[in-house]
Amino acid sequence: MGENNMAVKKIKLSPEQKRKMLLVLRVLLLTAAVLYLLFLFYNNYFLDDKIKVYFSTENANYLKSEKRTINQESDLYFQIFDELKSGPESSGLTATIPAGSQLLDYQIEDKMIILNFNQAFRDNHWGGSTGELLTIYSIVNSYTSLEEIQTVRILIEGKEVESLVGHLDLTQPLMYNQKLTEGS
Amino acid sequence: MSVPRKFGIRILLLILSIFILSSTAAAQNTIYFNSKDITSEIETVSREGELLIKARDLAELLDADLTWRPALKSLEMKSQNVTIKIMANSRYIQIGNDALKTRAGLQLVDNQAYIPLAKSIEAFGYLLEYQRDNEELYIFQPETTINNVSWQEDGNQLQIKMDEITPYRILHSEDGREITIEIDKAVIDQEFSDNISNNNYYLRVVNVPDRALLRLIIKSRTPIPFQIDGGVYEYEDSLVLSFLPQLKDIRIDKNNILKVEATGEIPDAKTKYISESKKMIIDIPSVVIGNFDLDIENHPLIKDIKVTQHDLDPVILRIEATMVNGDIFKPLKREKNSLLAFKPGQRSEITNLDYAAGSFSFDSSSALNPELFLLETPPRLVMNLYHVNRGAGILDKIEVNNSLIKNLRTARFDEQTVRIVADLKELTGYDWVEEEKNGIYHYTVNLKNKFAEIRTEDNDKYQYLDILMDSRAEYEVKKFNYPHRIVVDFKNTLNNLDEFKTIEKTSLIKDIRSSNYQLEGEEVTRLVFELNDYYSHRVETYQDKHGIKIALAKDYLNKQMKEDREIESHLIVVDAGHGGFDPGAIGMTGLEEKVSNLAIAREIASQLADKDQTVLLTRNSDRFHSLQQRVKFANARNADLFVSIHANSFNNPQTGGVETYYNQHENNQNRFLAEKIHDKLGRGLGIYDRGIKESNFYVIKYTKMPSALIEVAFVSNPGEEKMLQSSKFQKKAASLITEGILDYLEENGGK
Repeated sequence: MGENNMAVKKIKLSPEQKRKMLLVLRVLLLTAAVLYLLFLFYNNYFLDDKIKVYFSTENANYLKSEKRTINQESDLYFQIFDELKSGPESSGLTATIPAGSQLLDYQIEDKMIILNFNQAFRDNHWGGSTGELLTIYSIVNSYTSLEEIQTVRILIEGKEVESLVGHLDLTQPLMYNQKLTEGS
Repeated sequence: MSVPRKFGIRILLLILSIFILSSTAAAQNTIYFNSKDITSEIETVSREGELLIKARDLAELLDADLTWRPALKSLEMKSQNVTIKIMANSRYIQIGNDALKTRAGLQLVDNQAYIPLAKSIEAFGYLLEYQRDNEELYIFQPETTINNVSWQEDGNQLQIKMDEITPYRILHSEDGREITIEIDKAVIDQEFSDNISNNNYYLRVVNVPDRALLRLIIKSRTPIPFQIDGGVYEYEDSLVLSFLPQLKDIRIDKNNILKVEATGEIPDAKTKYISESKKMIIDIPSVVIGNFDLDIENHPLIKDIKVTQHDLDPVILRIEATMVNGDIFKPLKREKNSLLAFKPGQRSEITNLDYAAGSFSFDSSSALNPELFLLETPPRLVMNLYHVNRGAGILDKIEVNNSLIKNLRTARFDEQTVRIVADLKELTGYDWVEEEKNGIYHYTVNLKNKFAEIRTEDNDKYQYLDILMDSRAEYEVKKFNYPHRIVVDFKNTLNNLDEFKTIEKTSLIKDIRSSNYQLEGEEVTRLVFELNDYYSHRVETYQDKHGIKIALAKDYLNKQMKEDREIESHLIVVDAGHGGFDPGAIGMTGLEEKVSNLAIAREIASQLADKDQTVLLTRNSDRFHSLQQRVKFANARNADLFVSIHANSFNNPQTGGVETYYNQHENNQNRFLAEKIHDKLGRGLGIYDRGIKESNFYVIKYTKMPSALIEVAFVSNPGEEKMLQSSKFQKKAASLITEGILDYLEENGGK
């Protein structure tokens, strides 16, 4: 019987209880605001473990960078390519790396990074001067954003190539391309 | 109640209050133990100017064991690890093997032992603070122990290690030679030895009588470089005082390199030269003088070196070197941050100050880093040159009176600076360039050019476009057709065309426009004359290239003649991109780029052949050639022109349009060719114009003749893929490219 009574009993809040509820809500709101600020702060001020990865604008005229947090535990240079491969987060950008592409290994000499890709990187590429430019320079600009890298060489299956798909000269190390970079 | 009775009570109250007040005043010393007033809990007496406390009260206060040996009249008190002994008739308190001298010693009052309060409490390791003004005595338990005091960082840091950082103060003596660090409620570790003075500083630890604090006093022969702001910081449980680095050594090595070394980082120094007294002054910020070695005697270059602490706020160390024969020591690149090095060299001289229309120039015997700025009234451009002398033949004033410059004046502005002032007719933009040849640096300051006059003129045979500039013009004249235009790009020129009245248009000129345009990352002012038909043109300059006169020939009004404009025969290599096992990009419905490339290339070849041009195709069938083979093909045949035909692709099917690529070459011919071709394609092809672009594509990079690569349309865009397949579109693209090539040949004549 008692239990039954309890169940049907309407809950009426006294002004005192209401005040308490409001206080709790306020505290929650404040906590949320503080967390949000912390999040903003974290994103803006701890750029040390952030890298820039470049993607193509949708109109294929420029490259634009997005920031990614790196995992300190795994290899930075592989992570950059993984981020390039997984594509942009914002809607106005387009990925530049063909499906099945793999960075097999890399080597750093002085300030040059030599990136060795698999055959699929070339075979699955959509071609075109614009396509090739944006693919190659999205990689070059991403790696040369790192302080320790000034130039990038690209190899396919360990071999030097004239170009990826018949336009861009890959026999020479490539430098950061400012002209292709939007908003910097 | 009657009035007198009330009055009596008041008097009584008054007397009472006076009594109470005077009795409190009479009571000696309020005593606080760990901030608690214990005056009423203890009994004290004063003997021989010393405050004594009843031994039992003290024992209770400190929770100590008290032993009284009546036979010896000796008292022993033990609290924690400390035991003190005191005997009647002795003035000493014995603590272990040490003895503390007191004034009164143990006194018996009413058969009770009283002992000196301050000394015995100190013996137990308590701290005492006596505030004489209000006769308050504070007893504290120490809150922190200083465990170690040591010098770090080559003697530039004093680290005070303690259990806990209590409030502290750092005091500076007036002359800066003494610093006192006061640490509240601190005691120093028993093990600590005072021997921590170093080469530059004498340090000692002082217990302050009647004050519950410890003082560390640092003294130096020279002002101590401690920065009141930022000189002290707390690091874990240490107080760290940073001192500025001190001068350690000044020497001149066998290569005559003057070296100044300090115990720590030296910021960049300012150097000044005083030619009259042959002195070089090196002002080094944030370094103090210290005990340094100076080992320069009877040196052939340096007569004397004087070192002073020039300033303390901010700290500046001054080294004044008097030279034997006025050599100037120039700072060398820093190798170590604690070392400055200077190399002797002559102060550079400026010579050959010269001017031209809109520019002036001079030579210098070494590289300079000039500072330029404009001043408004009267309008002038000021150029500051540092560490230079005016060479022979540099006059104080040259009258120039050209279109931009009135006078050039030179003067020594101060010991370090020679100033060149160009008095201008009016303010304008400027830039400067440095060219080095055989170790002589040639500097040219260019003032921004402006349009002075633009006229059009008519006669029977020609119509003239006459553009007069304030100074010698750097320009490119280009003609484009359909619509017919003469385009003149002016470099380093202000667009002041707003200042002109509308320019009269002659019958051949439809419109005149101007715009600012980016050419290879440089802004140019572009003047466009829109013509109502095709005319041949000729460009002449006059007034030492101040003026450009473009003559349009009416003779070509005749359409037939226009068609027959003669272009010499050239060897043109047309390269159809991809081929063989390399299909190039592939469209959604399966069009392979190599196919449309070849169709368009063949069409171009045939159209060019009709205009008496010799054309070679890198491939005339579906075959693969490497990029290198294509380049070799054109280079080996010494072709006049190379054009590569491609179709574009991107991983977004909506992307579309035509673009033309060139590779930047210093003679600009690649760009001119691309401009001509793309002018046609952008306007005529009927698809989106993606513009002219510069890139390092293989075939246009390594070919030795003017070259361009055309991405006609996007094979990855279904609409454009369809177009690329139609022979109508292929022909249209080919004819536009052909026209562009012919336009280029007509104006530039190929290689």
